[in-house]
Amino acid sequence: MSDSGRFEAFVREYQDMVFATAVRLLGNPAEAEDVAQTVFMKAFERFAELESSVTAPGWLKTVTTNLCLNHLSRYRARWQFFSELDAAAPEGASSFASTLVAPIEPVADTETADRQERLERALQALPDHQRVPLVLFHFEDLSYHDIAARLGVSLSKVKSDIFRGRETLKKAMGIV
Amino acid sequence: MTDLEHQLDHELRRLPGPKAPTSLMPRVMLAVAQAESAPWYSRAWTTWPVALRATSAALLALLIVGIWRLMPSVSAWVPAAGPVWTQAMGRLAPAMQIFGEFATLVRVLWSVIIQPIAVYFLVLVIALSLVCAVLWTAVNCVALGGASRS
Repeated sequence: MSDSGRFEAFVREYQDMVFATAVRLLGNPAEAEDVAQTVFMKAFERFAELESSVTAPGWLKTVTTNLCLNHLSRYRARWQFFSELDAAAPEGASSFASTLVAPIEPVADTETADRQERLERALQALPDHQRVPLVLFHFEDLSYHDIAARLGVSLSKVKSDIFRGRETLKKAMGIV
Repeated sequence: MTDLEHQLDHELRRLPGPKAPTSLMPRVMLAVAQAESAPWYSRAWTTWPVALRATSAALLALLIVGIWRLMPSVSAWVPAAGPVWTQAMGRLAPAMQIFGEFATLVRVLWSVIIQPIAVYFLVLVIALSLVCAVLWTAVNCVALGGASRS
């Protein structure tokens, strides 16, 4: 198989993981696709090392997370602005969820599928400052301390944002 | 965590990941094709072939050393190159004089202070760099899975 063919197989294998990480952190499929492309371009530059490396998935996840956080930090003012507005605005009121393509894998149980779809949409609809720490905690297995360090915010802010994000998700899922 | 939080945590962890859009793969492969077709000199220096990187670094070092070594010969040659040059250089004489004095000062500082310890300093820098490189590689491989390189 040619280099190009092998790289295509590599992208096919990891594209869902990279995209899922990006879209959950960014909450925007178009931006997530841009970030995913950048991640794979970086992977292409190191394809000789990555191709046979067992750490390739971890490398891709870390690079995706770093690029997403960089992307979000460019809009730090917006982030903080939303953080302050959040108290006044109804939680999860973003219309972003409606722009998502239905990305859920087919599941045998329709009720479960429906529930998962609602949860995914509710997660994507969270404001940035709640969704990002929540995603880092639940999907990237980072501790509160690590999240605070990565985002450059206080530990108490991380805790309160995750708490409020969870509350919104619980309401959306009827877990009250 | 309360039971409700455990339930939410469980549901979040069971959540299947969103699938990549079908447009991602063609976009990536197109970008790869464009990157591959670009000539090596138009890419970032870090992506050049190793031989070219080594050659370019050596050439740059040679250029710097060459300028440093040739400076006295040039300043000696210019006044003797003819009246036109002399006239032109005459206008630049004050600046050249200051530059010459500065160069002399640097040369004296080099020979009196820096040169005696330069070798030891160089050995120390190389040793510390090697230690840093080894530690960084170890941390990168063990803790970060090689991900910090980008």
